[in-house]
Amino acid sequence: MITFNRAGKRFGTLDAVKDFSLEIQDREILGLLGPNGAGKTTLMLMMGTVYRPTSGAISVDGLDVVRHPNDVRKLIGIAFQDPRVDGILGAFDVLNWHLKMTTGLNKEERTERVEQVLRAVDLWDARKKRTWLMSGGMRKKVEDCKVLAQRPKIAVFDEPTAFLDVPSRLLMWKMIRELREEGSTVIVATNMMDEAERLSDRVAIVNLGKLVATDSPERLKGTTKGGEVLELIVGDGQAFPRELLAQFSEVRDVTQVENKVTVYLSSGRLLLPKIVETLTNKGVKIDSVHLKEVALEDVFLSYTGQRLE
Amino acid sequence: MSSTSLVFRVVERDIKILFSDTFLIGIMFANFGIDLFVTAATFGNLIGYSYFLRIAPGSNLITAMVAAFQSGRDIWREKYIKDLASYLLTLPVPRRLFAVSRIAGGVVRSLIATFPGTLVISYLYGILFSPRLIEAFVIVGLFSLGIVGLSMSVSAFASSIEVFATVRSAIQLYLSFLSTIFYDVTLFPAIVQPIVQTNPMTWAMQAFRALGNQGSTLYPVSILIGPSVAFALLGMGCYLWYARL
Repeated sequence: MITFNRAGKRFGTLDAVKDFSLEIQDREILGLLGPNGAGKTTLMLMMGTVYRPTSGAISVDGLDVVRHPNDVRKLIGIAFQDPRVDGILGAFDVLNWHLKMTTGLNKEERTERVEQVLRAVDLWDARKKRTWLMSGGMRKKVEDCKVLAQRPKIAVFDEPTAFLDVPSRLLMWKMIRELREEGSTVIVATNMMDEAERLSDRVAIVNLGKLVATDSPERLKGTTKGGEVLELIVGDGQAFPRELLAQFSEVRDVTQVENKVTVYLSSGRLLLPKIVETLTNKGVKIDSVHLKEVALEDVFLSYTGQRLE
Repeated sequence: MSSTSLVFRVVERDIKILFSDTFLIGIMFANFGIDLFVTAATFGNLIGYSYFLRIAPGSNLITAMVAAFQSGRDIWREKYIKDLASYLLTLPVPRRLFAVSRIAGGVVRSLIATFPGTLVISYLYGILFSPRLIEAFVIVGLFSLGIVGLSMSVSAFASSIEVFATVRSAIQLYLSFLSTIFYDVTLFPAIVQPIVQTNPMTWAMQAFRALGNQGSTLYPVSILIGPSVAFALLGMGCYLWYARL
């Protein structure tokens, strides 16, 4: 189990992470969801013993990251957001050396494992190509492969499918799930809603260095007021009379970002004609209407008041 | 994994990176060739063959210095350009052992880069086929130890490649011209003589000259150990400072 107990990290006057408390269970896939700069990478680097927490404590399998850093490092493998690979070396050499440093595998076992992951991500034929000559997607695969080949007890992926095309993304998700099946605890930091939703057992929403909410994607969506979302695009520069919707008991919340109004409600199909009628009667110009079930994106918006894009 | 095994594995990466760029090794050997067969040979023609032999080891030690500084430059690049440092620091290697490994990697790289040069100097000094060849490599290794330490210190604090390059040039000037490569220590102004006498290049040169004269290298080597170990410890300290948790 990994425990963050009121962990904080301050850089100068900036609190990158503040009062962060969370427990991550063994063999869980936790999605760490937040916009760029939310503190996700700082959290992972504190857990990976690169940064020292300036407050609170972090323990990995009962080992404090400050007092037992090297024991903690033996348990963790981190695939970074930007590939951290020796550009002058080929993918095979990068992975082989990573396994040499992090596992007790012998030469044959290492070769077998490197070949297995490189073939799986379709990089075996390019195994000798210097990584700095590879495309962004290929380099990202090499970075992810470090952890996939290592099979650590705790696998951390920072934006694992950034730069990847759709088939590669699906493949990477499958490989990450398989890693969990083999016994790893997986932490996936992402700002992609579908990634967090489709991959995670549990999602922790992080914003401005703080934990905002955590639960399974389904439960998080269930907790969002009403279970349905009505998105209205209204005329530019028009003040939206929120109070008009207060008469409907099914409406739980209304937010507005520029000309996009989001109404959280239940019984949306029945209510939609009434809402549109009420608004148009009061002179509100509605350009488009979209009723949908709550997505994780709406959950994020409702907790943080901002969109991830 | 044992500590020794971990050190070897870190050193192995440094060597692999060195050999990934054979062009760089070729350039270093070409520099050595130009230093020896153009600069030193020209001075030799002006003054005499004995002077050529006297300054010849300087060409090899300057190559060792360049190779040692490349290790520092690589560490700087890991930190600022490639951001590899944060990856390396997540590997299960105790920080001190990691710092020792980086210094050892630099020394080994330097020995590899100067391997042909050390053989050429040993041939010129008539020790190529004698056990004293080992002493020649020990001198280059000890000298490199200090310079790798110095270059790691610079890499820890340099905020840009321009700062790194400028400080490196200053150190290279100190090593080349405030040492006894070209002149005897007595020819320097009295005020700079103490600097010349504490310069590791001075004692590496003296040790090589002792080899050439079939004399004992014990005295210059034992003095060379001082600044070399001090610079290596400084480099380790600086590396640990920047790699601190």
